[in-house]
Amino acid sequence: MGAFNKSEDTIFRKSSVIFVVTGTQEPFDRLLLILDKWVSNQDQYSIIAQTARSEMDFKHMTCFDYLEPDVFNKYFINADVIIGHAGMGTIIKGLENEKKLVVFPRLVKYNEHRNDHQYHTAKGFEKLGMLNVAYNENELLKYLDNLQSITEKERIDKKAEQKLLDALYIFINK
Amino acid sequence: MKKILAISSSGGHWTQMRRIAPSFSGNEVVYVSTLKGYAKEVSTYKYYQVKDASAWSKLNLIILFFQLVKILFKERPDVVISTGAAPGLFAIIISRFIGARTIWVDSIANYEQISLSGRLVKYFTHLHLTQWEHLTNQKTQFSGKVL
Repeated sequence: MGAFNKSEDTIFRKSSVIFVVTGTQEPFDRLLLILDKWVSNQDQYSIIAQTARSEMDFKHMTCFDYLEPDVFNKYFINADVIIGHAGMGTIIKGLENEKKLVVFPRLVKYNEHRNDHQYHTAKGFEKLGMLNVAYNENELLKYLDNLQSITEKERIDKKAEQKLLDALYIFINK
Repeated sequence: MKKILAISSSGGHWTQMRRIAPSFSGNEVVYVSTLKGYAKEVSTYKYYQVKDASAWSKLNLIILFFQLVKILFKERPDVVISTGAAPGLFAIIISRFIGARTIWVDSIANYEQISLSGRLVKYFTHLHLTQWEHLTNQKTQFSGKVL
């Protein structure tokens, strides 16, 4: 834990922290390249990223291939802003912890996923007023240049809706 | 008391599994997922780590399948529940050989259509749930969302 405490001191106290989340399965260089370039001339923000085996060399961000879930949760909860792919883990965790969150969906046309479900998920949650979405570089840069004004969405409970819990409980115990 | 085996991939699948966990109350639960570190999140329960595999990694799928055969024949759960993806599909197919009742909760991420694993598992599972009302049909039901 010593190493973590040290990095926590250096990373969390000098500036506001953006934590970047791209899942554990496939790299997401399109997003990371935009962020690495953007942060290169920011003194107010620093970026920590979980990069999922990306082979790129990012010069301006603190990158980890993979973070253990408990360490990941610490970074997630302590960050000022979360930028992520539109994975359900990211979206739900953002809502559970009432974080300032912007998602950038992975797209098949850039070979970033097997299908475009992240795009459709993002659209769906955006329509419900539960999510900030950037669909391209320009939209992401607009969010990045106005990070203070990103809104947190309403916090959700850490459990499923009662109707689903009841249905499962009845099936399990019959 | 029933024995439940709750199995999912990492990330959003696991997050959704944690959100339906209150429905397991009063029963014995064994968790299975693909990251070692999740054991800490369910430290009062038995936890197995299996290979992370998807349709993109055929060899890993074979390894995963045999890991699950071993776990399921050892644990012999009464109920197997999954929120996806490949590990849950395999576990539910194997479970038919040990007589478990099985539940599939398709991820809320699948808004346009049921996931590939979800479409395949439909032929093996007893309760097949989607989280989107417009995706229901004779076999696939809607009983609410994980949110």
